[in-house]
This record gives sequence, C-alpha cells and structure tokens, in this order.
Amino acid sequence: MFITIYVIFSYIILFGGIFLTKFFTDKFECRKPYKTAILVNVIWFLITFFVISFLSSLITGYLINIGADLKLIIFVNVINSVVVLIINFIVIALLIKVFYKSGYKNSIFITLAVISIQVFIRIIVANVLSIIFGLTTGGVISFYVFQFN
Amino acid sequence: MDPICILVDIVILLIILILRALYTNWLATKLKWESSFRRAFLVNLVWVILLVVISLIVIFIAPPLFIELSLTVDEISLVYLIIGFLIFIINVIIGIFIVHSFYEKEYWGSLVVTIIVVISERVIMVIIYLSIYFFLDVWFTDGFYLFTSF
Repeated sequence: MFITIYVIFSYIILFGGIFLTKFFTDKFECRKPYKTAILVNVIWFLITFFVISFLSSLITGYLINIGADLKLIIFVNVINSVVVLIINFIVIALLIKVFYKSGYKNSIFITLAVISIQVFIRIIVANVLSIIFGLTTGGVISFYVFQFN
Repeated sequence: MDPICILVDIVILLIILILRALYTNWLATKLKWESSFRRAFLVNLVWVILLVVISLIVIFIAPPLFIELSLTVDEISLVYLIIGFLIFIINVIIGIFIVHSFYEKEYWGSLVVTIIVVISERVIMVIIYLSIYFFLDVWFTDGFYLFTSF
C-alpha cells in the first residue's frame, strides 16, 4: 500500500512539473502558454516511461540472469537511478531549449530548478511514508527517490 | 570515530565548500543577483559550519542516549530515519535564511537556490560514496558531513 501511495505521489509530482516549467520559464521571460509546458512534460514523461525505464529494467534483468554478485546489482541499481536522473535532465533541458527557444544556460537552470524541486518533494514524501511505515509496522521500507517512474 | 574517516571527511568538506561556492555563484548570477565568489563562499561557509555543528551534536548525543534508553536495532533505525529527515528539512530552512540574508533577495529565489544546491550535492555525494564503497570496499557514511540519509 505504501509503495502504491508513493507511486501515485510520484506521478502527481511528475505532472506538477507542468506548473514548475511554466513558472520558471515565465521568470526567464520565455513566456509561452500552458499548452507548451504540458507538451514538454508529456514528451518528457513518454521518453522516461517507455525508453529509460525499459533500458533500466533490461540492465537489472540481465544482471540477475547472469547471476551477478549482489553487491554489483545494488551498485548498478543506484548508479542506474542516478544515470536515469541525468538522462532526464538532458532530455528536459533539450525540450525546453527547443520549445521555448531559450539559451543553453537558461535551459540548464530551468531544468535544474524543475528537477531539483521534484526530487526534493519526492524525498519529503518518501521519508514521511517511511516514517509512517516504521511507526505503524515496525518494519523498514526504502524508496528510490531519484527514479522518476 | 576512525581518524581516516575524519581526515577523508575534512578533505571532502573543503572540496565541497569550494565547489558549492562556485555553483551558488553561478546560480545567483543566473537569477540576475549581484554575486561574487567571495559572497558565495561566505554563504556556504556559514551554511556548512551550521550543518556540521548540528550533525556533530547528533553524532555525539544520539548513541549514548540510545544505549541509556536500551532501544532495539529497529527502533534505532527508525529514530535515525526521523533525525535524518529532520536534519534534511533543517538544512533546507537554514539554507533559505542564509541565502536570503547574504543576497538580500526574495524568499522564493533563496528557496530555489537552496533546493538546487542541496539536491545536486546529494546526487554527487551518492555517486562518490557508492564508488568508494564499490571500488575500495569502504563505507564513509558515518562522517560528520551530510549525516542525513535518504
């Protein structure tokens, strides 16, 4: 149940990116209607969901299949989630650059702001859920806060 | 605490301080704030000192307290999770106020700069710690800096 709640929150946060994109692009005087922000976020979501998630699960699946060392699997999984975050960063920076016709440095700043705020909220949600889980069941639960889906 | 761990932490801390100053300076410039490396360095110096003090207090007070209260391993993990989360929030709040007072700018901008710095730093630290763990088989997470986990 906790994982389901976290996944639901993750999607809410992900699509909250629409408002963040609109807010920061407005601040950088790249004024465009909400339609553009929605388009950027939907394309971003489709790329992360269908391409990056598929590749990540392929790598993990391969490591399990060849019977790799558990330490290596854990290492690859965490590095994987960080790599996913970096790919996300590049994708959204390029999308902002293309759709808003902003400079490279401005795109990088807007992307940093959008992704950092999303990860920040995810950390809060993940920690609150982990604490509630620990208090109610006495168990331990971990969430991958860097992963986007 | 292991002296090697302390030494590694001090070296990491100094490198982080310089990198954070460069990064904060760039972010402030992007927000069209009046900024310099010196100002960014001072912001981060105050911020990091406060963080280290808080982390040290927790590191030295928490373990004897746990022994005194005779908590179980699960209870200790939960308490550390709560403490870690609280320090994370405190870290952000401290950051907002320091950035706000040094740059004399609006709170939303300070919040954005703080969050970007904190999250970027975390991503880099996760990669560094994991790499050290994977290649050297040493776990440096009990250092006095970035005590919080997630």
